[in-house]
Amino acid sequence: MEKKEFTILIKDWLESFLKKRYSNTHDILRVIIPNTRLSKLSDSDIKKCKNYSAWDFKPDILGILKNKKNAQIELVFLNRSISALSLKEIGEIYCYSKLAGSRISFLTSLRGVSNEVNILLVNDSMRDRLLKYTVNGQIVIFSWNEEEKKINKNSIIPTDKREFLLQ
Amino acid sequence: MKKNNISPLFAYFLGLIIGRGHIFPDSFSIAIEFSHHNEFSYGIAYCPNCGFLATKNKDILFCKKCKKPVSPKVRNVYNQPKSTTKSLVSSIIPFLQEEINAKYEIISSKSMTLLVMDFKNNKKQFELIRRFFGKENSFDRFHIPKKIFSLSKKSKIEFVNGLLDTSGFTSVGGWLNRDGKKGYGRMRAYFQIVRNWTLPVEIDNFLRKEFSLPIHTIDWGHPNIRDGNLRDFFNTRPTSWSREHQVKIFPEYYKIFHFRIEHKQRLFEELIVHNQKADFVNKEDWFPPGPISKKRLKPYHPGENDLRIPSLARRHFDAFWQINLAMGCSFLKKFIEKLKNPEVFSLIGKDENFNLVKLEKVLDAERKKITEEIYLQHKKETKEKKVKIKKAEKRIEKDLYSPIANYLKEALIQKYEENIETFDTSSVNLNAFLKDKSGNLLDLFTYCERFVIKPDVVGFLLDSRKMIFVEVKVTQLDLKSLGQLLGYCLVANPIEAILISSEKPSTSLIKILKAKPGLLSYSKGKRIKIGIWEENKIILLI
Repeated sequence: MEKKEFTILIKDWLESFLKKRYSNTHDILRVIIPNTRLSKLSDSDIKKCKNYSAWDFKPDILGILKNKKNAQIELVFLNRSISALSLKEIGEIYCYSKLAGSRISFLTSLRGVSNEVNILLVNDSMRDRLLKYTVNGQIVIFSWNEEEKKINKNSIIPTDKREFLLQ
Repeated sequence: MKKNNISPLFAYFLGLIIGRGHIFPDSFSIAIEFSHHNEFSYGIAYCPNCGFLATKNKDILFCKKCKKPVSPKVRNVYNQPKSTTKSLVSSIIPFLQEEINAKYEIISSKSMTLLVMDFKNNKKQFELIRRFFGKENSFDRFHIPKKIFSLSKKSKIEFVNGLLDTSGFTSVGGWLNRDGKKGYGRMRAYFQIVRNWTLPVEIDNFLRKEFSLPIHTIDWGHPNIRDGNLRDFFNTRPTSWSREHQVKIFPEYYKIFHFRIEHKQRLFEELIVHNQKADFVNKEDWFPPGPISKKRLKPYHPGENDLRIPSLARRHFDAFWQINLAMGCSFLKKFIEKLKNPEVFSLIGKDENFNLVKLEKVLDAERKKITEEIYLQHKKETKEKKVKIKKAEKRIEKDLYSPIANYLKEALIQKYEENIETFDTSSVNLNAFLKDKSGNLLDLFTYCERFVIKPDVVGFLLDSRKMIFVEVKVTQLDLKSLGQLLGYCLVANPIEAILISSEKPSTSLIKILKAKPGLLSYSKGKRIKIGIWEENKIILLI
């Protein structure tokens, strides 16, 4: 599958996932494929966020939510890759997520994580260090099954997020 | 399960762990890798016209007899990740659950399926399992436990089954150019052993001793074996030899064993049927080894002294069986001890009465001659390549590793006033680097065993046992490069970490770090430093 095709496919997934999981607590404002860095994006909701002008980065897919309780704008990041995910990709989205304090972040690939990273993430404390960017914020990794056009259940890391993603 | 009473099931489990297991003492868990480099594997192809073996030539199948192209559809196709997960769920996990009380979880990607077993609720059994492996925690350091040799035949078979499921591979591509009585092409399977230099001989000797089985060869990840003609060395892949070792077997002799991974078993059966039909008479066991003729002498390879090779094998070899001997093959040792001229035999595979010093001189001269010929042959080609590379890249990142490592060593000695070593660690993961380095460094930094990360330069503080990471770039530093080093730091928590480039950091990175300086911190009180490499020294900017 080409990168472009995968991006569109995974954007659709994120949109339906956010609607399913967050509609009760949030307004799902939009899910977009940003064409420029967030700091330069002409999006009135992003501009409501504190420090947005320092967000000189561009996630592959961006979800913009509005918390129904306090009207705060919350972001969801998703980076995708067609090759196996390494620490480089994890570190990159970790930076984005920590910088902007995203609600949740996703990292997905057609090949899943590299063998080296797979082993690292088995260890509980190591996994927490690599994926938890704030007390509540966490990166969730998964691979996309091209054939069945859905998430590969066994690829979801951390494993305790499997139900959250699939139900 | 007591240690002195090992059931077939437990023996199978030990086989799995030795093949590709990781033990995590901190989290009371064991992870077992089932690797499948490619998503699909393929069965044997036969020509629909004449029934002869068809093999690939530039991605197209051709009949070896009538030379016509053969449709790939004639082969069985196996989806490896799917089959592995299915086999784990329906066969392996239920089998293990009969005796191994743990929480089982499968994590899969296209190239590997991981079985993770959590023993937090059964720490007693976890500790019992650990005892079989001493202080070692990873398959690249495991040995076959002595206890396995005293088990029942059934348990020994299950032990090999476990080894096969993790480190055994069946592939049509490993066929040999051989004529049988009734067919052509001899299929092979193999045990693939990663970074563990003792296990290939241990497996060979175990199969030989306990089952009297032939082994075709051991394909060592050694420069003289994997790149014996220096082809890769001259083709800008100078360390391509540093791969796994393969213990090659003919499957028809191994019918008492079976894989529980379904696609491997099915392909294994295909290989057996093919070889049986073709009817090969010769067992082709490598033992005892044959003579090394003048033609078979190997050129000297610059990688022979590479630190990744353990000291026992860090030298020149002309034949794979000489490495078997160096790595402790007991069969070969006993065989040679009985000869009249054991030292001569270990050099040329002949029990003849030669003057050893003279013989070594003759061999050395001959190898030098071959080496020279190969160098001459590639000289022109290499020159052309060098020119191209220089034109293509002004300054490559690799060129900076060594000067930065040297500078760092001096700077750290001044700062920390203790013994320091710095290395370019860019070519291999940190854990493998330390294992390959062996000796002192490995003993001092045993806690790095889990660090499957690849910082470019690492400084080792030998007295306080701390590390400093340096990530080097030749482009403007940005969030991506910071993310990479941050990943390494989150894994290994070094005492210092520096992100360096020969270029100034991008303005966007500076802006980001001004707004959120906390982005640089990876542990309490520890932050990544940003620097520039200028006039052969590191100038810290942030």
